[in-house]
Amino acid sequence: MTHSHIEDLAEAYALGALEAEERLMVEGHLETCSECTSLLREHLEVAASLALAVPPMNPPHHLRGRIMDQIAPEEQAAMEPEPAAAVRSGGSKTRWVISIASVAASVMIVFLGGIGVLVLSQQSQVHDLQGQIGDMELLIDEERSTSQELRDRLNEQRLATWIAALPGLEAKSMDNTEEAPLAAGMLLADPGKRWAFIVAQGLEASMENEPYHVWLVNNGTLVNVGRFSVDESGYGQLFIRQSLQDFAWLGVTREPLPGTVESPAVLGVSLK
Amino acid sequence: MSYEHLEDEQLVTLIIQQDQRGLGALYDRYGKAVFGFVYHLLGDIGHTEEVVQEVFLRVWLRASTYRPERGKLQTWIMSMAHHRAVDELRKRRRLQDILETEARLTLMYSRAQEDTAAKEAEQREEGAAVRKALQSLPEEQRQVIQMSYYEGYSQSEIAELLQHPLGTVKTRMRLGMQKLKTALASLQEIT
Repeated sequence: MTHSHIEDLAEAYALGALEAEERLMVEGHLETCSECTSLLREHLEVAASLALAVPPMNPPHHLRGRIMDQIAPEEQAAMEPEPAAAVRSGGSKTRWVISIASVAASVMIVFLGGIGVLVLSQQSQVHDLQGQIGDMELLIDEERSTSQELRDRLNEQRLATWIAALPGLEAKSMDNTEEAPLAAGMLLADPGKRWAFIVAQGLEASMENEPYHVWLVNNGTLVNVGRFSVDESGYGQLFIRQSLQDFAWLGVTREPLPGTVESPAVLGVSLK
Repeated sequence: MSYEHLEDEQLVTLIIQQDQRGLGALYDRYGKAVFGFVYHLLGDIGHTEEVVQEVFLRVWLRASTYRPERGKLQTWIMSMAHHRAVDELRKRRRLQDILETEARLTLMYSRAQEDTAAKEAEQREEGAAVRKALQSLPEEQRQVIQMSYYEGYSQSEIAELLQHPLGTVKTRMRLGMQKLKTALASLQEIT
């Protein structure tokens, strides 16, 4: 690949718009060509400035803590002493005993000491292995639980995709409120408004005993049509098996007590 | 020692020395910009958090590979964020996740409320300049740049979606980037 080839591809490379094969060719050339690296640097700066055209946004408060927690264990692990060190300190004591014993006795002590160190070492290894097995069991449990969660989410997505692909479906964006400024939602209803499906994003994950409730409202009449939980990614959905025809508004609240409506709405949409 | 006044390169040095507060300071400086950018591309909080977390973890693990002569630290971080977010977008397309894409297109989001730090003010000014520069491009050039950078489409995919010859897309992209570069340079001179 020559300089002129790179010149042709530089802008698209910086924008990330090359096919994988072209991108690899450019990167291979850059390894050995400082001239093209310098040319590309200018384009990369322009491309990166496009990222700044997007308004900044406050990340959730917990994110900083999560990042810092993630880098912390490495440092702690590096500071922990090697398990073998304890065995080595036991060995030096044995050596002191040897120095004051008779030759015959010392042979025996060395022998017994050796056995003792061996046993201690083996016990230590068994202990370490038991610890490792325990850690691995925990990991397997976590993986199993994650895998189940992913399967459930996939099934939810399948249902959502199937519904979204139905012909003639009416889609309406839901409005968020001050209670959940990051939330967004969509109402998908069949043409006759005999049933509906709502999806929500950007909501706070629901706790076990505090799910989100969906209400239909008309002239002071309030009907609870179901509840849903929101996962850690902020996503939740509900299939509503109830006609919307006689109602003017649909709202979502987060209620600590079943059957009550005490909290302000987080999402809402007019049905007219 | 207060870290917030340190230059980017000094923070990188601290991170290479495994100083966690160095990464914390870098996150405080660029976290909002990275989060806003990734959210703009992905449109949902959960995936945005994952990507931002990965980006800063990569900064922590790979700080020693950063080369100041190849570009500003901000460019390096934003490039990582862009690559990772585009990977995520392409994965979604492969899964044909219709609903998520629909939701992304209609998603409303809130903007940063607190604007106190001087660095953030600089970033905002630069952002406004870039938006102005983008607006100054002819529509067809702006379109291909936005589709590639913000939506993660390759040149071939753009050509297919717009039903234009690939050569036309390539030319528009090149011209657009060159004009953007010139426009940005002149805007920076004015400011």
